[in-house]
Formats: sequence, structure tokens, C-alpha cells
Amino acid sequence: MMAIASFFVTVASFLMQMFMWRMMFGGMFGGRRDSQGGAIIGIFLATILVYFIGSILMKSLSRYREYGADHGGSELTGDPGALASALEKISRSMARIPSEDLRTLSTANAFMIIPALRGDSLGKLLSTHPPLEERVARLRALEREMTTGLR
Amino acid sequence: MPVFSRNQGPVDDWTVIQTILHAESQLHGQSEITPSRRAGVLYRPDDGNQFLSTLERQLIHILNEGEGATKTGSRVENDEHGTSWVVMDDGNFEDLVSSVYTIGNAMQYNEAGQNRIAAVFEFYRSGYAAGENDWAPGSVGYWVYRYDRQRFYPFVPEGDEERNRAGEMQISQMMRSANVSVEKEMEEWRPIWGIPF
Repeated sequence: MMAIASFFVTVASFLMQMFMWRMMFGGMFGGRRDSQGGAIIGIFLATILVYFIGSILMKSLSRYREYGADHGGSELTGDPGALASALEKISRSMARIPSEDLRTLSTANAFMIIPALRGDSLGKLLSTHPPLEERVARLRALEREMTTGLR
Repeated sequence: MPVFSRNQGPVDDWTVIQTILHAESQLHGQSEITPSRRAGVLYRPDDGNQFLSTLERQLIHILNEGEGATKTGSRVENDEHGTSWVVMDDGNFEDLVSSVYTIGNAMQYNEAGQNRIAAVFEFYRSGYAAGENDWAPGSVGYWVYRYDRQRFYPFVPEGDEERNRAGEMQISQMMRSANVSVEKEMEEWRPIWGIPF
């Protein structure tokens, strides 16, 4: 699946670059006004669309595979709780690492609010890895499932 | 209880800084990291301090002349934060580390010890990445030595004032395993944005 998705994205990005060169050197500097013009623009737009949709799909697939890896790993070890708590520990440690510059150490930090204002939903769509909290939540759910299943 | 607590009297910076010499040869040998030629000492300039205000002219004398001289290239750069850097360049990592220490030491001897903020060493990731969140091969990372805490920590900037925390934790494990004195309080792993080298 990943191979198919990445194939289309690669082809689309190649075509996109080709069209861009064409537009820059053919179209922009008094290019030909033949009947193909409209079709080429149409193909160009379609290529851009394929490229963006393809890369978003690819990234969501990558996130999905990460959940899959967690799931598979937990089934192998039979202990999703262990992986969950390891992930929680990493997540907690990572949260301790600051963003405030070393040089502003003595001055009051007026920018503390910025991380809270970041566009999280867009970031989520474009990230290749699911957030740790979500992975932990899924592992905890799996843990419940496995323990109730054993009874 | 920190080993290098200030109450126990000053520890020479060299005691801590020299630990990266061994670490570099170990990690370089394992193909985990490759040092770049670059390093820098970050400090607060002070026009009232004669040594600091004439530092640029003295660099050659301090680093490249007399006993223990190196071929380290050096210059002074001011950054956007009102702080300054002695930027150093040397393909010989031992000489680079020695020059960085020498600059910090010279500042201390000239009543500018309190002006020193950090010594920063640049590295490339040469190993392979096990996961996508890792410190990617070919990317740049820094080992930062804070003069006030006398400890190292990793810093991997990524894009616009973002840092790769997962990668940094990975590097800190590498550093610890190579016996570098790593800052345990992760809240003190302060980023240094826009390093000028």
C-alpha cells in the first residue's frame, strides 16, 4: 500500500516539476498559444492535486502503520501496558525539555503562550507519527481488551 | 546531589569538557557521530571589561601563538540576542576542544568568567536512524556545555525554533554511555536558536 501511494506521489512530483519548468521557460516568456494550452494547465492542476492528496494519504498511512507496530509488538510480548508506560515515560521526559532560549534565562519569558497557540490540527494531518498520547491511549485500550479477553 | 555542585568549590571546566574527547573517539568509532570542524563560545559582551572589548584582536595571540598553540581559526560574531560568540574552526577535534577551553579559560582569568554562557560543539549524525523521530543521518546536532552548571546537554534544532526532543534524548543516552557529564535536569536543556556557525 505504501509503495503504491509513494509511487503516485513520486510520479506526480516529477510531473509537477516538469510542468513548472515548462511554464517558466515556455509559457512565461511569450510562449506558444496553441490549442494544447488549456489541456496542459488542466493536467498541471490535476498533478498538483494528486501530489498533495497523495502525500497526505501517505502520511496517514505511516501513522496507521505505527499503531499497527504498537499493536503487533504488544501481541508478541502480551503486555501492552509495558509499552504504554515506556511511551508515557518518554513523553514525560520530552515534555521537560524547554523551548526557551538559554540567552533569555534572566529575562521574563513573554513567549510562553506560543506553543499553546500552534495550529495543532494541521500539524496532525501532516505528521508521519501519531502523537505519543494517542498511541498510549490505544495501547491502554488494547490492554483492557486483552485482560478482559483472558477471563 | 550534583557532583559538580558550586558549594563544593569550583571545578575546573577542563575536567568536564575533556570528557567529550574520549566520547567523540568512541562514538565516531561506532559511526554514530562525526564532529564538524566548528565550535563556539557564547558570552555576554561587556564594554567595561578590557579583555572582552578587545577580544577579537587578541584571538590569534591566545590561540595560535606560543606554547600549546593550535591552528584553530577564530572570529568574533555578534548575534540578534545582544550576545557574542567566539566562533572556532579546526579539523582536529582535540585542538578544537582545547581551543574552546582556552578561550573560556582566558575569559575567566580576565574577570569575565561570569560573562561566559556556553560552549557549543557541532556534530553530524553519521549512524542510521531506527525510527523516523530519531536524529536523522546527516543532520546537525550540538553538544552544549553550560558554564554556570558545568554540564553538557544535546541540542538538535529542527526548522523554525523547533527541536527534535526524541533525537536529543537518544543523543543524551549516547553521551552518557560514553561517560560525558550530562545535565540531569532536562528543564535546563535550553535551546540556543540561530547558532551562527
